[in-house]
Amino acid sequence: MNGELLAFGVLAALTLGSALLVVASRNIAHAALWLLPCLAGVAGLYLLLGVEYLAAIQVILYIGGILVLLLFAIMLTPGVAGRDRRVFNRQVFWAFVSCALLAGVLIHLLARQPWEIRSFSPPRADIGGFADALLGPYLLPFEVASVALLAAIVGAIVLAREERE
Amino acid sequence: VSPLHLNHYLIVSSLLFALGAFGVLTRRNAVGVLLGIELMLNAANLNLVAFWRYLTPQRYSPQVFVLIIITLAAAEAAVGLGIILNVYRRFKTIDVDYVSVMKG
Repeated sequence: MNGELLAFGVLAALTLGSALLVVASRNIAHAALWLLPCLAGVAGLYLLLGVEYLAAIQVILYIGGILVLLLFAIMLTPGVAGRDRRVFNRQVFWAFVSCALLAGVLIHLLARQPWEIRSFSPPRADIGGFADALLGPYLLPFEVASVALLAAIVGAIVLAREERE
Repeated sequence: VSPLHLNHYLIVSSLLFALGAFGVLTRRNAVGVLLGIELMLNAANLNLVAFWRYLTPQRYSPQVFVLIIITLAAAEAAVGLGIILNVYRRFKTIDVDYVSVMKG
């Protein structure tokens, strides 16, 4: 049972350490690449929580899709990567103070909350029930999400298209 | 009985959220701001799954939420890419400190 705690510690350290590098890396391309271990760490935490299919979705969609899209954004804006003299803007001090305060307050509030823990053993996350829920009671949000995705794709094409006379 | 508790996950996701917020507030590169937003979305997702695991294991709504958030994150990244490309063409930079023509 201590293996679970060890796995959690390793995954949490991986996630938070690479998230720190995402935020602090001088080179924006390195920052985007550090997002990969961070997202993989979150996928590992999903596995630890017992939702294998969300971990798979995380790897396929986030690492395979969104991260590649962000790397495209970096590569299509040449001259931007790798020459940042100043990574942060002028509000870095107050941003640090307020984010540290935010984290402190959140942890303080959440840790003191008397949660009613319902399941002490890992629940069984079956993909069949998830699929039934997605195409049953949650059909409308599911369809709205797909329409929103379509609208975003069309909007991205219109925005990124080069105007020619 | 597992030695892990809900609080472990909540602490990790709080720290992840604060790191993402710091990135959004301070990064000068527009892509860096998008990276910060991704970190914050991941923190929210981790929170939802942790609450599902410990508080409402019989329901599917948290996982549906997570799936829809991931979908909308993909949409946000696509539109963000389009906007960043447009800004780059117009200003020859994507430093958000210089792109302030709409500032009053």
